[in-house]
Amino acid sequence: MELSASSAFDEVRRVEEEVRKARRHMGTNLLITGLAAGPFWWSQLAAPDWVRNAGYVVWIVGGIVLYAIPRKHGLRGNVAASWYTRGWIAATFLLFFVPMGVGLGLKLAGVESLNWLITVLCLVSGLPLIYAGWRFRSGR
Amino acid sequence: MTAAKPPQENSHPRHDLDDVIHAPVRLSIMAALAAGEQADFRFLKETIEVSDSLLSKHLLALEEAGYVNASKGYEGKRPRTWLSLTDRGREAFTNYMDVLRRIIGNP
Repeated sequence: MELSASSAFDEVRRVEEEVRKARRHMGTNLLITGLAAGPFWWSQLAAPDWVRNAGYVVWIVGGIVLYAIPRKHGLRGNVAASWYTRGWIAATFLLFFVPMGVGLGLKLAGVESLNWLITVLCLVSGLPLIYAGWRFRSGR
Repeated sequence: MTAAKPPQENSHPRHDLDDVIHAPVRLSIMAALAAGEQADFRFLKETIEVSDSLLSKHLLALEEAGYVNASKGYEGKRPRTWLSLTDRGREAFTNYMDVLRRIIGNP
């Protein structure tokens, strides 16, 4: 099939747009996760039991909706393979297991109020994912 | 009397187009990898809308030209093939785009 210069150029633009769309989608998911991390930490550390339990459910359902269902987005963007895999393992650990562990630890230790620690944890927990999401969306 | 200037051979920029890239499927592969740095086989297949066998055939041609690097890995239990441009491939694609711009007048 003969490919003219202008049709070649159009195809390049089309493919670039598809890649950008996938990157934006991934970036948005990372941003949402990063922004939700603070409230999740808060729900695990300082909220009543029913909120904590609801937090588990929302976190699991959100993870499935954002990451497990849209499997077609295989694009990895700017990150290297080892970084990507380790990043997700770290994110899962930091955003899911650590809040539960810290919450349980504080409860077992009988610590009723550590507001400054909880506030700091809530504020910083999502920053890595917010940064990654910004990088994906901005194409860096 | 000055001698007539012989016609210059291959002066049109289209002669500078890289034949390895200037084919419909291979061009799309190169464009996707240039824009995304790394993509998996499935993403390319769905973006370019080609069959597995056709995509494999063209990826092999690009790998043989030294333009594309393939690495296999696992995501969970699923095997995945990740594709990326080599430095040579990125340079070739940049040159190719420069030639295209020259042909169609730098849009």
